[in-house]
Amino acid sequence: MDAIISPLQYDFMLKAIVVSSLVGVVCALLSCFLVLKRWSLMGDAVSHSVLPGVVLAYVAGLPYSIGAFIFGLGGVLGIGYIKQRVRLKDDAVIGIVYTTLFALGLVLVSKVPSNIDLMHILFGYVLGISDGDAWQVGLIAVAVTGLLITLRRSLLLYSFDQAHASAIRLNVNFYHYLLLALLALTVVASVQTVGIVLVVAMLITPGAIAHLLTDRFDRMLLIAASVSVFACIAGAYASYYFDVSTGGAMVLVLGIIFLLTFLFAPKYGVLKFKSH
Amino acid sequence: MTSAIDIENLTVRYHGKAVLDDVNVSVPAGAICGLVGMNGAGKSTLFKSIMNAVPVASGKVRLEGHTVKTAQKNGIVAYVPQTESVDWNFPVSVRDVVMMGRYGFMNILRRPSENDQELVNEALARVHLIDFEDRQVGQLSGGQRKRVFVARALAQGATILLLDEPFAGVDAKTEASLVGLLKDLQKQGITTLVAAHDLATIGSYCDHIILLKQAVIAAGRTKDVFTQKNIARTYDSVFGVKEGVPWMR
Repeated sequence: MDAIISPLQYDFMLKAIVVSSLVGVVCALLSCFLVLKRWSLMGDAVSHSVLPGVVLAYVAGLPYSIGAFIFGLGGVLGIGYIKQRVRLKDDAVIGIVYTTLFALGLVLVSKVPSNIDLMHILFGYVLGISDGDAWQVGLIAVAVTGLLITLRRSLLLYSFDQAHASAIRLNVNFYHYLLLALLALTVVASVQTVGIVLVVAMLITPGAIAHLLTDRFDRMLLIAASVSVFACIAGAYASYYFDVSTGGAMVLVLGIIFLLTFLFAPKYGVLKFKSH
Repeated sequence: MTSAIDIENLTVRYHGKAVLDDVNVSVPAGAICGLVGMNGAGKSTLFKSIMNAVPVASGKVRLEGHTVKTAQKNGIVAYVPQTESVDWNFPVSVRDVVMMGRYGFMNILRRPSENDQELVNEALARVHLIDFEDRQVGQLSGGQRKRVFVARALAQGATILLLDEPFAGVDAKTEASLVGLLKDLQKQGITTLVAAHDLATIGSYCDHIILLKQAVIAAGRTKDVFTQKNIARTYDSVFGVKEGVPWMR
């Protein structure tokens, strides 16, 4: 018990756990929609696209989140724009756009004098998050979580059947761009906890695990969020006790839970125990 | 006779090429009307025009006398998707899907009222799926899967149903039971437009037929228009040969 409580007397540990749990929840909720909508690659695209935004925001003296949001959303809007106008398939366009933006970010980091630590952006640094950033991240996470929960039914209909959605005059474009904007905001909030490389896992794995465990959407959201929070907290402790990468530990825990689910999920695991 | 669907001078272009070219046709209220033509003849585009899902170059569509927009607001028209365009692994139950028929009448939160629940119950009963309401949609048989979407249309209060290739990959028994359902609905005044590229059985249950090849080749009562001559003109070749070869599509 003491092993669990004693790290909490440190401010940085408490902050890390609270912030990464909030981020874990919002990533998990979003991952349910992304997995069902086959948008998993979009998480990849947004997260890598934010890098130049972070650097340019630093240069302009703005909060990193503003630059990251502009480039994250700009990246996916660019993908959408190009996709509609050329004969290339989605995955090719996505791959080209985000790697190019990511490369631009790398070049900028290496050329622009700043105190940006590339490793922290790529892989997160939640144990060292500043109070200001923690507040920013917390606010974004709470706002996006609130919107996702409030609008979950409309978003689910949009994800499930766009033809019906537009037939009953649901504003399909609005939900499309809303989901992209929420994705960009979520990535922005995740930059400091797990970093832009590992956030891809946070945006896919919890939803994937939950999808293997239930046939009810509301339950899927709940399972994904719980699994994700558990992984975030476990990752923070692992990092405290074993001095390993926090983001790395969080994602690794998620991966292990996925593996266990893949094997043992009652209905959809490969080793079915319950016959149906 | 009053018309459920009225289409006048409808032209739709993709990249400058006319996919529908000056289509003029009407479907009488209460008809079961087949929409036949080769793949690429414009069946899907015609559906999309009726659903306001494609930009129309010129012409107009009226549904029970309303513009498409008004008809959609009132839930008059509903679309039953092709089986393969639905993700059957989605974590939604039969009841969830049918409830989506009510979403157009709810606010942004989509919280069902008691009345919504009641209408969903009724719709489920009409397609005999009440015992399956808690099943995840992927755990239904082929015929039941179609019925879920018909039930959604009924819950919506739709009086015009658009069925996209409902009999593709469905066995004869399922097809017969679906046709039975459509005929029941017909007695309740519901108009059905059924798109199909397989001609084998469509003439037997549709009382009206539209033959489409960019423009309307012929349209009217099945016994008047569903002739070898019209079919040959619609299918561009000897009946049944070209259409039966999947790799030519």
